[in-house]
Amino acid sequence: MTVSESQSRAAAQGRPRVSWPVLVIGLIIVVPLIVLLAQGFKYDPRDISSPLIDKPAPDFALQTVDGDREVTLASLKGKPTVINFFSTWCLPCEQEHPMLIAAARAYGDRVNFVGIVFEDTRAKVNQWLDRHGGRGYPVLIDVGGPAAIAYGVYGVPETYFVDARGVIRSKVKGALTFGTLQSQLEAMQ
Amino acid sequence: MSPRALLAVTFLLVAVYATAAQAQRRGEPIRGEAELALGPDVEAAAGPPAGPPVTGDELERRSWALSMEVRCPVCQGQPIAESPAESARHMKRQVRAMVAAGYSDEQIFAYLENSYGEFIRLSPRPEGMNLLVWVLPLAALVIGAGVVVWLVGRKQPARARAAGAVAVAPPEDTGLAPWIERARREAEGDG
Amino acid sequence: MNALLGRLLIYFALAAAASGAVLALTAGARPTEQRTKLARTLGLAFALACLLATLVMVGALLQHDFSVSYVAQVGSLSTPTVITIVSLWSSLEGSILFWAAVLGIYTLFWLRASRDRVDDPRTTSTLGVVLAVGVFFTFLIAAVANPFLDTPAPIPADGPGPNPLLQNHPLMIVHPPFLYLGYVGMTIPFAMAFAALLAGRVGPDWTRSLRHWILAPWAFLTVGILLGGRWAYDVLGWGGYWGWDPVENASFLPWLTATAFIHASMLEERKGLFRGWAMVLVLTTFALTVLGTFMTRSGVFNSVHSFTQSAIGPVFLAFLAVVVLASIVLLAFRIHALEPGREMRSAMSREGAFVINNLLFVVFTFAVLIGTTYPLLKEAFTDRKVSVGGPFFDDFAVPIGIAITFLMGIGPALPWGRATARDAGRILALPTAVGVLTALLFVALGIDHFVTLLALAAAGFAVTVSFRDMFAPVFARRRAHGGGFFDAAGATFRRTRRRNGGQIVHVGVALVVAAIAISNSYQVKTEGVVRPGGSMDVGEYTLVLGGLRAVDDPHRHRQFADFVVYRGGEKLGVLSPAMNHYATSMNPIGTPAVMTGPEHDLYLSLMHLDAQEVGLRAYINPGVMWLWIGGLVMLLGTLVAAWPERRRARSAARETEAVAEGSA
Repeated sequence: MTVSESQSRAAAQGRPRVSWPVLVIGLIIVVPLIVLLAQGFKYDPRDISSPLIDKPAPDFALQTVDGDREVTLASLKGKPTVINFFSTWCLPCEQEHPMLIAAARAYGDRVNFVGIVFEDTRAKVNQWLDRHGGRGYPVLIDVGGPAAIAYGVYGVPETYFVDARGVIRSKVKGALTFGTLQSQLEAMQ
Repeated sequence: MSPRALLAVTFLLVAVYATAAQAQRRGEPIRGEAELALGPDVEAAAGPPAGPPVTGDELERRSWALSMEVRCPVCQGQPIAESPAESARHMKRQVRAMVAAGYSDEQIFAYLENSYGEFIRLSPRPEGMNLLVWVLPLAALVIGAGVVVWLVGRKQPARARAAGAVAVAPPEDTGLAPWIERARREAEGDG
Repeated sequence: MNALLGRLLIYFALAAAASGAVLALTAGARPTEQRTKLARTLGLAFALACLLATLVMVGALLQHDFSVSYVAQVGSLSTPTVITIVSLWSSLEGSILFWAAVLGIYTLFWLRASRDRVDDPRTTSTLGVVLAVGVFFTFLIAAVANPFLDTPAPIPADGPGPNPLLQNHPLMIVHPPFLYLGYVGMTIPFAMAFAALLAGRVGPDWTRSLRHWILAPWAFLTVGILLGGRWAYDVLGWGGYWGWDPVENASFLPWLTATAFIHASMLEERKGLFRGWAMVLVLTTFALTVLGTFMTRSGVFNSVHSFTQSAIGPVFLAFLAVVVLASIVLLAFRIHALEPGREMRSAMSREGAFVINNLLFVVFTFAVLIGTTYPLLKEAFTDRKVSVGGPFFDDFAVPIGIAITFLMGIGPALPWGRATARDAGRILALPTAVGVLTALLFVALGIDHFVTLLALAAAGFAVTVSFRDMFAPVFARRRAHGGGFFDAAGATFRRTRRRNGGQIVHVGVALVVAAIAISNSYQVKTEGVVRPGGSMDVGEYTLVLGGLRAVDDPHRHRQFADFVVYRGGEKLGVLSPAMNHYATSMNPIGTPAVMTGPEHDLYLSLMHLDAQEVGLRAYINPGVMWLWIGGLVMLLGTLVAAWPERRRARSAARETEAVAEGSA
């Protein structure tokens, strides 16, 4: 029968004709997509979790910014270590640096603090350190970036908390506050 | 020259080029830049190199190809091969140094994924769930092609339906429009 | 005052759109003249209200009226006037207002163009759907992202100015409007398809009209996408123009389905084939524009455009859900009401080529969509993040792109109906030869990568078919009627304008494909540090740093490094890449300097700059110029094809008589 005949028959029976294939295929494609996009609100696309958590911290052998000695991670074992990747061109780094200096003084010999420079030059870092809180712990220059690569640094500032046995326990992205620092260190006890 | 011969020649030429295909060479390889000595952590994390040291053209080719597959960590979706960022250049050199030392592609990826996570690969590892990215569009292609073949294949019922529709067709948009259309089309000479 | 006026206009627009939509959509199959007129008047009111509200906002921006919340957000006393006007779309709230304004403009055009077809119920339904979309956007402005709020006291004396990137390059001024004109423009074809399905009637007239209405937004979208690529090239400094960024993909997806529709509609118009499918494509195109806007604004995707994140995401997602579900349900119920077309006799025909064209475009769309959304899927299931970038997209884009380019040549060459293999061989022999010659030509020029050469051969193949298609009738006419070339051309072109327009677009696409292939085949890159008076070599060029200079604008401080360019001892000119420091931004933004040529671009970009030295990156990018030229050719072709005809009915009637007599 022709389209119009079948339509009128369907209409006469009081039920509209539905193309089930169109409905089913359409819904199969569209509903999962919408649900997936809705799920997307839960995640922050910029927050990439570190695979190094609970793994041994990669070793490094870097010169200090003053150029007077070399510091390796191995030499810092035995005490918890806070490794802070930073640079002079990053605003949150500027905000957290005075806090880190104060924290280093407060924790004294119980915790190691190390700063590693990311994508910057020695001269600029020295100037910046003088301007923003001084020096209270070794700041190392990562020539050629091997440390940043080993630690998987996606941006600055990023701070790694390494326990006394040399295992990375957590990573904090963005400007660090004293409260966060305290709670991370306590969690490592 | 007959069309058939022409086609044969074309195929021959195409075959010649296919066998001479090389990896894409966009960008200048980092020749001459100071090699990065592999830090103590590399061997600890990646283990000993899988193969012998690599030099020359193969070194440039492999490190280039790998660099096109590694995401620059501080950029928006660019490969380290093309990114001007300092981190990208450091990573490019690290990759090159590892290739030169004899590490295999898989080892180098594993080393980078160890610190950055799977996110650092520009194309997901082709295994497990990740295969969906390739399989789904290919499935669409196969299904679509199947639909097309089916549509072209069914001739008889469509013809009868069309004949019926012509007989009892509901009125067209405006009465004369299709005829004017057809006449104009023929006049335009693109039948 | 401005804020209040703006708010009132938006509320008015919302009311007009809502009542107009309800009126138009409930008019049914036999709308009364009164209802139709009232609905159209309400549509007019909606359009004018949106436009007026936008003018009020522009006025407020120019007056630096910081009592309006949006002006306080993006206005600044030190911004140049042009940028002040342009900051209308620099931030979320203003850009939604801009969207409503563009929708208003399109509504006005629709009202004008459809005034002769008022008795067709589909016309009224179309207006109804357009106004329904208008309801969503005015609601969005009124309730979710209102630029007309009152700035809380104390009213600031100055503002932060728009995003510095906006002021950095003139392209940022044109790229968004073109994209908006494209995106918003898809509303009308969508409404037309929706209306046709509601009425259960899709015929060649309506399809042709639909195609006309989609050509303009398609052209705007094409230009907008190319401008985006040009902006990436000119501003971002990595010498590339496309990164498969989620937001780039967002603009590309509707372009793909719209192009597929343009071809499918020709099938529908000529042969009555695949009516339902053509409608599916139009509905999908609009859905993809909503999806694209969601991707750009929701903050769900990791992208270069992420500075436009906001809380508007969920609302857009809801709108997307409504649009696609309504479309699917309507399709399911109405696809049977569409008249079935005639059958397709053979795949080796122009119909076959169109069908394969659609298949390829749809698969391409799928691939891009899946690639863009897969990271979300992976994270939803495994809580881990993956990247899907260039390598994946190239896996699909390269073979599909090359296949489409070949198809561009095969399609117009094959006749309608059925062609034997022998016919096809005969018709395609010359283009194939030219294709092979093109590839050989580029081998001689130094390219040896197989895929690149294949793409270039396909481009040569397609261009040959296009030129032959345009000019063969001219020569045939000369043979038949004599006369000069230009006379014959004039007479032929006047009657084949639409088809020639399409062929010109194809030539443009071939140029774009060729440019992409060449620019991906190699790139010469050098970087280093140069002191004043020092030099750097890149490829065949020597760059000598002449000096540094600074220019101070009220809103930025620019430092230029002047490089004198030499090739083989001959001075070619001066290129001055710059570093721009904006008062409101921590990091400087660089502006590359480019010297363009038919063979390649010389591209300079600064890494850092101070009094003693300059960090410079120099690239030689081959073939990039042809990308922009190809885009212009595409635009030209669209204009040729879509230019409105007058005196059409009269000449058509005359032709009808002539043909009837001739074929008797």
